[in-house]
Amino acid sequence: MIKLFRKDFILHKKFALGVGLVYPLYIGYMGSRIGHTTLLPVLCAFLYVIVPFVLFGREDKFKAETFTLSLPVTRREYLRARFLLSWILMLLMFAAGSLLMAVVPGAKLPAATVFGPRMVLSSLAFIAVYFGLLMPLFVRFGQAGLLVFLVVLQITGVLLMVFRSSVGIGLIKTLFRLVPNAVAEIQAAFGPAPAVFAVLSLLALFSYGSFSLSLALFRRKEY
Amino acid sequence: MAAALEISGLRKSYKGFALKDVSFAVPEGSIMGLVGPNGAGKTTIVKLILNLVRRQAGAIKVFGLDNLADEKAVKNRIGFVHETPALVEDVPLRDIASVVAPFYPCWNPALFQAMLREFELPAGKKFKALSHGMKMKFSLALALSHDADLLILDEPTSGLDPVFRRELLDRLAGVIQDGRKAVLFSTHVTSDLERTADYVTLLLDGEVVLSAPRDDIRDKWAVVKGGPELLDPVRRPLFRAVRESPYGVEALTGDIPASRAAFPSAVFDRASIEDIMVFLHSGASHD
Repeated sequence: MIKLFRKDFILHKKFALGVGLVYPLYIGYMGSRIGHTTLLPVLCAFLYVIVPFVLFGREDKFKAETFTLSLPVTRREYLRARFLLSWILMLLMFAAGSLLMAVVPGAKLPAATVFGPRMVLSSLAFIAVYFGLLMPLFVRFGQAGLLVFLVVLQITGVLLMVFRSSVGIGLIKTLFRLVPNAVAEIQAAFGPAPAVFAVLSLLALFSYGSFSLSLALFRRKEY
Repeated sequence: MAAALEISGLRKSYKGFALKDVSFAVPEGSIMGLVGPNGAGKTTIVKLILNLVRRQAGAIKVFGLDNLADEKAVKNRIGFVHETPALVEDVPLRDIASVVAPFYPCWNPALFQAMLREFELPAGKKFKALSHGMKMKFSLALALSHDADLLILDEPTSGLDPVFRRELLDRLAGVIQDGRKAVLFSTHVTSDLERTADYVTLLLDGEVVLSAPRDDIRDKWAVVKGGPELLDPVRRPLFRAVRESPYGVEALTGDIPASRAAFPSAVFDRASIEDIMVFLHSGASHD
């Protein structure tokens, strides 16, 4: 595991450093302009999730995976390292982005809201959902998987806009508020600490499902 | 003699191509040349050994270990050179080596540095700045620096100049001197095999048509040159393939004594690996 992390760090250090310095600034500024507690985690989580895929996309671009998989490493280990590294990167981005959002002058949401349990758990939930959906697509289709995901999102958005008049704006809002509302309901039912535990358990379960699916696809992948 | 690599009943199908029950073994202390025309399945076999593609049937054992069940242990003992080395391009060679080294307990940094010097590869140069031949040399340096017991080289001489090509072949002969290591070396350049290989496996259209010690091939196979009498249907089964030209008839035989007895006036030339490959390949379509 450490060897695989080290590999990614050495091979992508300049790129990662560039992204690591500039990207949180962008997210911090952009996030500080959003005053909507649902929209903020929906948008920012997607920006955090993109980071590991941009990194892995470099290996995909150079077709270097064949060489890596010829080293003494199994596909399970390789994928596990990717999942863990992704979560580390996404959480670092989340922490840096949120911190900047809270300190940028004129931020529309107060720090107490940005770091409140509802916002943090909602962000983590969106990160887990986006990442959990994206990873199997990336494993199966490489960088094209990102495009597939974006295209599906766009089509869903367009369809929702088209059918807005028939299904009503309420349904669209309900869809987007699904995760934050679920977090709020769990919190209301069980109290803050059990809610955190329940949400994190659900996210872990979802991530494990995504890992299992990704591994099944990865084992079928041929080079 | 124990087998460094043992492949039995290997099958893999793609659209329009299939490996059909491929079986052969590479004894320890030997160099096996895997030869065949482009598209014969050489690279597919190499990828199957490294679990880069999935087999549909058969077994692959490396020093007695199954290549899937004991994947890490197997890969630990293999040094691999891909036909088109692909690594993250915008990184210096020294960084790539520092990434690879920790994966192998037997990595020898002094040997690696010596090879970089010998191959005239500057450690600070980025991978993308290398020519194809230099990339191949760098891959060889990586593969040779961790004391691999089995070297698997997929078309290693492509893109190499004749001088280095000769040096590489001599180096491979040196690798197996301890009698424990082995080399599997895929190529369609048969002259490389004439110089180096102890064993030759010939693949045609996904099938092993010949797997034998090189000396046996030299002793048993011949190109028979003569007139139309070589086309006699009664004696025709002595030949594996026959080729007609405006100047006469040529045939490939794997039974020199019987063919000599049947055609005493014909000319017999020792068959090279290239002769055998060309005859059997064309024989498949014209015979």
